[in-house]
Amino acid sequence: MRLRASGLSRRARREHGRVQAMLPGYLDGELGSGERAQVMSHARTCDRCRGVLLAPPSVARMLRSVATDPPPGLVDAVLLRLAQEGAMPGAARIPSGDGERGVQRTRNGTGLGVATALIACSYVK
Amino acid sequence: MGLASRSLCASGTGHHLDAARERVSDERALVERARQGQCEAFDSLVRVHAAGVYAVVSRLCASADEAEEVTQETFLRAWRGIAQFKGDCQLFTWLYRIGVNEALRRNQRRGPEVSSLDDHRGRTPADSRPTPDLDAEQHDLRLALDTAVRALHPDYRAPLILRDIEGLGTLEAAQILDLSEAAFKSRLHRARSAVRDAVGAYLGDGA
Repeated sequence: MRLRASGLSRRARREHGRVQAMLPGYLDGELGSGERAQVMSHARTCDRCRGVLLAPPSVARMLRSVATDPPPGLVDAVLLRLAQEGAMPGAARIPSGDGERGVQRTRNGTGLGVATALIACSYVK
Repeated sequence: MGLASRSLCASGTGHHLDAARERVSDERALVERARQGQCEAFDSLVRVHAAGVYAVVSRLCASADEAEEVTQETFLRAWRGIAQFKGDCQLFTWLYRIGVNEALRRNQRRGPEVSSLDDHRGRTPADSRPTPDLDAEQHDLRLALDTAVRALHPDYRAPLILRDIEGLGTLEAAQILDLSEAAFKSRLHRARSAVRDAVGAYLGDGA
């Protein structure tokens, strides 16, 4: 059953107000799982709150809140790749350490910082 | 990540920090030096823009590993082609164009993706790195949204990413995708509608 805010019982109005207050946190991905579940459960039956969640700015805000943090060592990996493919004298001597995935080791990060320090600014066109 | 990712980061103290800030404050000067083959100038550009490029391509790639490869490839191509960069658009526009093209090329090579929202449910987004909490809540609306975006054909996904997620202007985003403004807006509209419908359906309103 769909609820409209104007026709809610006192208890439902309280819940509606509580969820409304949580919406900004929900959109930004700042709520814990319990609060998120409350928002979701309420939005399924509340036209007004569902309207807020489905508005284009809210959709964009939620999408932005799904993290796309770069993996640690991304810059190092890029610089290392530049050095390895840059055909500069000495670049080929830098061991990648793990074969074909040498420049994809940023999640482990083993040795990348050192390697990058050695090869920084060493690539050429 | 978005626009904030393009802010400059510098480390150090005292006059070293000032010098670093001075070095990176004028991007055009860095680009010019990179065009002359000065790789330390290009290093600075990598440091400024790598996260932004990654944020864009990660939403177009099938996995976090592929997104990282595409980011590396983007800067490799940029370095090799920096002499062709005329400065008629911002550097990040040019970099994003390289990255998006590379990601789309890989998508094409991989063949058509599954386009049903249902088929994408439960799939971990390439780079969302969910917390264990989120992992256990695959039906969270935010993840459903991300899934809906990934269900879009890349031709429609890219406008949505650049405009609504990265916050670029319409003209700038259209330039990156090499589209007219009208074509860009048309694709964006369709992408927004598809995502909204998918989320509406998820919430059970039958939209």
